[in-house]
Amino acid sequence: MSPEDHARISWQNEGTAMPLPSIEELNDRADRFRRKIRRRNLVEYTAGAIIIAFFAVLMVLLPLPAMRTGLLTAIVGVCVVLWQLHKRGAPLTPPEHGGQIPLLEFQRRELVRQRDALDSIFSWYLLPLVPGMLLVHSAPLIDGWMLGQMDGADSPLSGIALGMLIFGAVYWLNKRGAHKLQGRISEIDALRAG
Amino acid sequence: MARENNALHDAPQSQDEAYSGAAATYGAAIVRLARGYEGDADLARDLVQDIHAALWRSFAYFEGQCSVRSWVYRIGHNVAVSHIQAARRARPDGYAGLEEIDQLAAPDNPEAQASENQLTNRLMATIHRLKPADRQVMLLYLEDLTAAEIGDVTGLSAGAVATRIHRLKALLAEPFQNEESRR
Repeated sequence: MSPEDHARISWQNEGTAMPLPSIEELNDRADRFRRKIRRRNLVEYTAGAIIIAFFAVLMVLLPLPAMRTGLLTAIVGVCVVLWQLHKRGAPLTPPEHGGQIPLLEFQRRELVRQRDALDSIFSWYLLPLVPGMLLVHSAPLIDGWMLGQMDGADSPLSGIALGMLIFGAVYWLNKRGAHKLQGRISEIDALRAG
Repeated sequence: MARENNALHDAPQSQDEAYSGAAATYGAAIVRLARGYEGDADLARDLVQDIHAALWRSFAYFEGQCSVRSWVYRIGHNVAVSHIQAARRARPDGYAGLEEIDQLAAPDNPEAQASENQLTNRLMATIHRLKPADRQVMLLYLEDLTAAEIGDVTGLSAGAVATRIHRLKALLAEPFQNEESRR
């Protein structure tokens, strides 16, 4: 008997099947996974809803037209981001997709999905929020100008600069993440080609 | 050695029937697969249950796209890879490739006296050191899959599978060569 046959027989003699779980148990366990995904989505949408509610309350409380327009634009931006999260948020799952394609192809598709989401963070996450951020910060100046009360209005530049700095950091971190994922995709490509 | 039960292909089956047939045929292999990914016995048992749950659900999507055997191993390894990633124990830098290993690792349990147990323990210890792709090849090879079947499950090219099997054979021959040289 060859060494590999000996190893295979030893290996296969080792494991004994556990009693099979009932269909009810399997269903319950599969539901647990679905509940976890639903909970994660709920947290994201709740956070978005809280921000929208907060901006809506400010819109009611602040009577200044430019500020109201800015807050409304910010609400629209948050809605666009939530819709994009919903559109992009469905990962591949082993039960649904895992059997139909080889392991490396499954891993590659999931990594490509994640990489594309991070790589295009500017267009689907940051850009929808930029107009609202610019308008909200500029609103005191615009409203002051409209009311002829320019004297007390602060310059919007420091607020806009801070917002841009935060957006820039988010952009850079996501691009770095996309670059790392691309490295893993390239490793898989090498394995499939090799 | 275990071979696929062709009866699984004979007639259209319900999801529950297809799962039950596959689980009965590959139940022991699923246990070994889980142990190859998870060293902790309790977590490995939990992983087995997760694989069965995914396998049961997956048969709702099975339309003969590949053999039942490939299907079961694809689902099993996918769930196991997700398991180690979710547990944050996937340390790609801490794993080795087959080309970096000269001999089978010392057994996780050095107390094991029986030589067959010791060989299995050394195989398991070696598997736990491997990168995911190499680990998959070794586990599938030990389950008696051919090179073509390993390529079908993993998606590795034929050349990449052949290289890894060649390396594996050398690794598996090592304990015998040492025994010969001691005589």
